Amino acid sequence: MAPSRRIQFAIAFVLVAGSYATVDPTNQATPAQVSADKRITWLSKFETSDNYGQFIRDALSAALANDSDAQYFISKATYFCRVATPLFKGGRRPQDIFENDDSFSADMRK
Amino acid sequence: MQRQYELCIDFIRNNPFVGLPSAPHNYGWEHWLLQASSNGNVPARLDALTLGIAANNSSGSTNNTASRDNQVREAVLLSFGTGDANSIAQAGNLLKTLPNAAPDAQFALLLVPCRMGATCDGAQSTDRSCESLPNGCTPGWRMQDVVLHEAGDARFGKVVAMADRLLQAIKANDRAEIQRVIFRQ
Repeated sequence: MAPSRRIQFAIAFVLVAGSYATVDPTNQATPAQVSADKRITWLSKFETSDNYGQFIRDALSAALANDSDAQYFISKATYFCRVATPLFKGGRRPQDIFENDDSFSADMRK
Repeated sequence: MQRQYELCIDFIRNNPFVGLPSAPHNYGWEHWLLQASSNGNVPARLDALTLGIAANNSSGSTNNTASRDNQVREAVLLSFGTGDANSIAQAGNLLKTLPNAAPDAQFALLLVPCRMGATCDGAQSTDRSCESLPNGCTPGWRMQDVVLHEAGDARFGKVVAMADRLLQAIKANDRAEIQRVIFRQ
């Protein structure tokens, strides 16, 4: 994936994080509003999570049952941990560390 | 960095996808994004199109381009129906890739979520998001600062008027008016 694409994804992620808003001109529970409310529930769980691994495990059964909002936020959590976060020195990605846990543990002791 | 570590350490140590049957993309973010998109999730569709990983069944480069433009056009219009600020802001990011997008529409779509009640007064820009702006920005800017910087003084008033017109059309679910605003006629 080209770096520019990562950044495009990031801008959408960053610019509106915590800025969620919905418009319901009729103040009634329209299908769009119900869908938005469900999305906000997943968004809230995602944004308040302090453990994306646990968040994914909690959302997994819904995602496997084709809940598209659960799938969407699992995608965001997975992206964050595998791609967007150069967690450790040298720019190593988490999945690189995951594939070599001995090295990872050594890093943690430093 | 510590926050990022805390968020991901469990994910890294205990792969949450262990035990699932094999799947394309090995349960990476692409897999879940495409799953959500194919299940009709509008934000996922917008992200997938932005990232260029949307499923494309057309063959031939001309058809692919036309197909992608049609998918983008449809997704942008669907974003207004969701009524959520996240999707509309993302639609602005995609809209600029369409050849017939109105010149200032992408900027107006950054302001529309603010008009919808999204929090836009706080710092909306970060190092990473500034990298994606053609003219750059300074971390800590408000959304309107970003738009003003990108659109310029001369166009800013027009962008604000366009955002207000769009907001009214969205509230009225007036699809024809939305298209008149965001596409060149």
